[in-house]
Formats: sequence, structure tokens, C-alpha cells
Amino acid sequence: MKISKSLIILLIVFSARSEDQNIRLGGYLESKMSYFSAEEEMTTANALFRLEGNYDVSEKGKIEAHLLYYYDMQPLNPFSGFRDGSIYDQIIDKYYQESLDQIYMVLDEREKILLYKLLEIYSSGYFDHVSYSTFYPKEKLVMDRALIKLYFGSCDLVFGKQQIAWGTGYAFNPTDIWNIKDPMNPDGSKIGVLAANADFFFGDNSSLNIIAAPGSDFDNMKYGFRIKSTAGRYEYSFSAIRDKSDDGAVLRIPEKVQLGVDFSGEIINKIGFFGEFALSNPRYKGMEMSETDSLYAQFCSGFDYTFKNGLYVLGEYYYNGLGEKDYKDYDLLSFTRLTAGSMSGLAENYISAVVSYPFLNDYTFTLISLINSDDSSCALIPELEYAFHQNISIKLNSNIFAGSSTRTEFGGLLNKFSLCVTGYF
Amino acid sequence: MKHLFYVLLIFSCCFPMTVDEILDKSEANDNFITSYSINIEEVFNSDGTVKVSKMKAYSKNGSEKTLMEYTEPKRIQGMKILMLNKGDDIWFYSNRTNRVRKIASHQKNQSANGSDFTYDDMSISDNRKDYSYKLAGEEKYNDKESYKIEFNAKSKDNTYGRFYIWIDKSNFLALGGEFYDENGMLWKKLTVRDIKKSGRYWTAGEIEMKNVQKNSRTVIRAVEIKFDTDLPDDMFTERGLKK
Repeated sequence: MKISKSLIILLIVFSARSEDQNIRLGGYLESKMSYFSAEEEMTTANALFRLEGNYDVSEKGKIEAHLLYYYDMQPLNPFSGFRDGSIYDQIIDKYYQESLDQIYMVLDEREKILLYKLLEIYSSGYFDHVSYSTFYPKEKLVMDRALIKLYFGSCDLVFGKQQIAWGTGYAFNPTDIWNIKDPMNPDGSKIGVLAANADFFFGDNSSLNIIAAPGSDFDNMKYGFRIKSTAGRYEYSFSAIRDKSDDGAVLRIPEKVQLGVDFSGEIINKIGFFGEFALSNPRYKGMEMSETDSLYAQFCSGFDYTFKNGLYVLGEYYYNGLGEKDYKDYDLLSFTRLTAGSMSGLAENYISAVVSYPFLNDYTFTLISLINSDDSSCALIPELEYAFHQNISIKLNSNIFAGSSTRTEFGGLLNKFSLCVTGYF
Repeated sequence: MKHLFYVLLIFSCCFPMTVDEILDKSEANDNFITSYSINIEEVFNSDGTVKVSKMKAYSKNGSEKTLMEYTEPKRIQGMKILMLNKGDDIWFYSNRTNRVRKIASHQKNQSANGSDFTYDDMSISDNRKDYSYKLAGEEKYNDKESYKIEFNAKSKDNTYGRFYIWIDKSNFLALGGEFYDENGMLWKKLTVRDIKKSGRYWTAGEIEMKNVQKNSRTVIRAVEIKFDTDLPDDMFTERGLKK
């Protein structure tokens, strides 16, 4: 209720000021309903409201603020998107049992009985039903962008929460440590990063980007640089970054230093060609930076082409040096690295293919497929988008997973069907 | 000396202009230092629906550099397209993702914002580089004496297999065009209307591209146009796109 009031006040304030030509307001409202196909059928529904405000202070600077308001009409228990017995279930159960064993060792008999009763209530699914009213947060207000841009002669400074996007890959971005990439939703919006960002420009197409993102203390800080330039029809960049964050500390993801290269351009017959390579050196406790035992590489490379009839095709390969070749080695650490965005899949080798075709003026059909070539599972994401109006789009999509439900990464996920309506204002 | 001038004048009148001279003169119409315009784009689809967009366009050095910014509809408000080297290099900026992306050559023959113009059509690309060309004749086009120039694709990758452009003999402005696909079928028809002189420069108030295969058409109408205003150079850079 408090959130809703703040939002209304903000809207009124912005509306009152929007007559000023230097202030631009916009945004969208997105409403989504999903159906999960499982033994116990599930549905979820949520809405997202995004308010985007820009204020051109003068030629010397700009203020930008984007406010996100999520409302979960029917939030989903985060652990109910997996099939019973899936590798995710196995990982969680194993960790849960290990943790329980440790707790039992320090409890007396009375406490053990109490804990057992609590777990019984939880596993009965009681909270799953309560979740639709109070157990999980229903609404959330997030300041996704809140930044001030300052323009100097050949330098731009940006302070505050901002979107940072590195890399040239489509489904995978190993050089982009700023975002957690979901290869099943490659075009998903990137969450703002609180950072101080300086861009130095030399020539029309070259720049040096220096970024520092603070943490709770000086140690939990990400900082680094990226140099970008062009050569003929190719754009390329080199980056070096020290990555340590508070989120990483919670998930026990160690500090790392990463060197990256990315490029995009064209090869024969105007076929687009792109790639990224990242070499990372995590610094586990007790190890020195110079030790290369923990050094790992990740890279992706792909091509894309648009035919004259509008058919667009893309193919991309991803090598994940942190991933496992055998499903038996998927463990809690793999799951944590995936959740933290240190890698974009549990396995070592992935292939992604995208086909997109616009037809009948207002429709676009897109099919994204993601193949885990190590455990032979795959995800198929067909989507039909209909431009109902210039400012309203309707999307119907599904996530269809194939592979063994107990031994593969994608086979253990529940098939999902979604309807999403977005209106822009 | 005076006699020599008349001799040269008579001599030049006796010889028809070459196709390169015609195209040079036509391109010279774009010799403004800068231009700024506000344009309305209407897409009339075959199903009767009409989509309207509004954009600002900035050009420098005779369209060598062009920047377009969509201001309507809301869905694409703030989206920018930067064309450098007469459209050889095209960048696309989305303010929603804060990302600048260079459009690959294979995407240049795609529809720009769902219209009947491709990115290639919207840029002043050097057709003489990608197409072989010749003077196909002199004829009346919309009641105006004009040159008909024929362009034939040098490679299969080009957007059109063949196209014709009619150029007004009096002011060397393009009056219209016909564009054929690689199978030789008529694909699009271009019509230029409301040609007038604005200060020192000739301009077209309205351009229509009709897709005869899809039975749709797109009209771009200039509602405001200014020439030789002060436009900074860094406006036409990747940095400028993000500003």
C-alpha cells in the first residue's frame, strides 16, 4: 500500500512537470500470465509497470530515472519450477539433507521434534497455498535507473544506477560481468548497476570506458576498463575487470580477475560474425593470484543473416570452462555459479539457434532453441508476437523442454505457456 | 575570348549529358551544409490499417551524415538511427536498452520500422558503387521532361535486382522511381511530390514508396524543414546517440 502511494505521488509530480519540454516521460505496463504443465498444474500472474523519466538539464548534463513496480498476483514458489527428481531437486535435496544432518547434531530431542514438525508442515505444501496471499512478497518497487550524466569535452561521466551492457554475443555474454544472462530470454532487459562510469572518446569510433561499482566496503567492489574501436567493418573491444560483490560473497563466489575480448563484423556474403572470449582467474582463499590452477575460459562465437524475405537466422556456440561434461557432476557449486551469473549453463558445451520471421504486417514468429550438447537436453522457446496497436503488443510463448527429467539440465524443468500483453505510454 | 565562350556553349548544347554528369548534378542538389526536419511517416497497410510515426532528422555535409530520432509512437520513442558515409555504416540506438548496435549489411535491405522503405532506401547510399547504370532514355514523367536512368545490380546481395530513377531535366531532382526484385518483378514505386525551393535548396515535401507486391504504401511528409542551422559534429557519433 505504501508502495502504491509512493508511485501515485511520483506520477503526479512527474505529470505536473511534464509540460516542460526538457522532461520526457514514458514507460510501459506489462501483464503476464503463465501456466506450468505438471502433475500439479500451476498458474502464475504478474504485472510490471515501468515509468521512465528523462530530464535534459542542459547541453552539459542529463538526469534519468526509471522506476519499476512489480505486482505478483500469484507469485510462484521459486522451487516449484522443477520436476520431481530433477537434477535441481537432487542438488537441493542433497544440500538440504547435509545441512539438516549438521543441525540435528546440535539439537536436543525436544528441538528435533519441533523442527521435524515444522518441516512436515512445509513439505505438506501448506506454504505453497499461503504464498498466494502473504508468504511471498506480492509487490516490489525498484529504482532500475537513477543516474546523472555529465558531458565534458571528450569525456562523459555517468553516476548512479545505470544499464551496462558488454559483449557482442546474443544468447551468451561471457565478457559481461555486469548482468546475469538468461540464454532462454536473450532479449530480456538488463537490471541497473550502481556505478561510476567514465567514457573517454578518441576519434569517431574509439573509446575507453572505466567503471567502478561500489559494494558494502572497498573490498567488495567491481572495477575495470574496456577499450573499444573499429577496424574496417569490424568492431572490437578489450576488457579487464576485477569482480567481487556482496551478492557473490553471500553465494560464496570468490573474487576474480577477468580479461575479455569481443568482436562483431562480417564475413563472406555479408554474413554477420561475432564472438567473445573471457579468461577468468578466481582467487580462492589461500591461493595466490599467480596460481593458474583455477584459471578457466569461456567463449562464444556465432553468425547471423537476414534473407531478403525477412527471415532471420542466428547460430551460436558457447564453451563454458566452469561447466561439467557429465550430469553426475552437477552439484550445489554449479547451481550457485549459475544463479550468480558466473556461467550461463551447468554444462560445458551449448549451441543456440534462433529463427525469426515477420509476416502479415503485424506478426512475428520467433523460435529460440538451446541445446546442451553434453547431456543431450534442449529447450525450445517458440513465440508469436502480434502488434495489436502501435503501442500495444501481445506475445504468446512457451518453454518446451526435452531430455531425461532426472539426468539432464533442461529435461528437469517444467514446460511453460505464457501470454504477455504490453502497453506503452 | 567572347567568341570562344559562345562556341563552347553551342558545342556543349549539341552533346547530350552523360549519365555520370546527370547523376553528379542530381547529387549536387544535396549540397547543403546542414538540414533539420520534422517528418510524419504514415504506413498504409494492405488490411486498411494506418500506422503513424513522427521523427526528427538531422543531416550534415549533404546527407553524408544523417541522424534520425523517432518521437512517436511511444513504443519506439527515443529510438535513433545514425547513418554515416552516405549510409554505408548504420547504427541503431535503443534508449530502452541503452545500447548502440551497428546494423549489419544483411539487415540493410529490411524494412525500417515496419515501413515500405528499407534502411538502404533511407540512406543516400552510393548506388553507382553497387549497381551498373546507364541512361535508359529521355521521357516525360508526371508531365515533366526527365532523364530515365537504369540501375542493374552487380551482385545478388543487393536489395533490388534492377531499378529506374527519373530525374527532372530542369533542376536535376529525382521525380520518382521503379524498383524490381531479383526475379524482374515490379516491387516498389517511388513518387516524389511537393517539390519546392526552400531558400537556396530544392526540397521534396512528400515522398511515397508503394509496395505493389504487398499492396501497402508509406508516405513521409516533411512538416518543418530548416537548412544550414548549427549542428555539432559529435551529434553524428556513437557518443552522440547516447546523449
